[in-house]
Amino acid sequence: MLQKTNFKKIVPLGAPLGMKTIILSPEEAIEKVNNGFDGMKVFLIIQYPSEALFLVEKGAKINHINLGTSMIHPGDKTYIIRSTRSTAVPIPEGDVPVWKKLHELGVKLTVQQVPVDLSIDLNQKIEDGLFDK
Amino acid sequence: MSARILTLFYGLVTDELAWVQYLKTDTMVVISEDVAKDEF
Repeated sequence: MLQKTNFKKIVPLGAPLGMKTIILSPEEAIEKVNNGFDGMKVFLIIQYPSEALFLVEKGAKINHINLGTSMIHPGDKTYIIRSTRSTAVPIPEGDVPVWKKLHELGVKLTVQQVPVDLSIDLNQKIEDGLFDK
Repeated sequence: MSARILTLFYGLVTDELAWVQYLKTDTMVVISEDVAKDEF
């Protein structure tokens, strides 16, 4: 049985050494994003694509989202985006409507797990019918 | 403003570190309803 865990304490422990960590709900993040985090240069991590769509639909000024990886669900259809021979990023079918909506809203979408990988143009993949196969 | 989506808690700390070094930033903002509410 899983014990209730305080993830607010655990997340900073997983951050790189010396990194300041801020945890926000999607609602809290909208104003912060639009105010540019008071001039700080931040690395923004969003847990679920649906939360990214929520931010964009609520007016957060996000014009580029990079998909590093996705949570896959056993048994569900999964699309694979390959950025190198050895690197593949999964996109579960359940997330497809979210990615299509972000594409329709004009958000630049890329797939790149780490900086040394090729950046794949997800907008182009969507236009080419990746999710229609 | 750019955002990166990845799955938390699945052993991808090395990926985060690579991006942090590449972006030359010192602040990580995690946006998650689950984490913000601590309702796992």
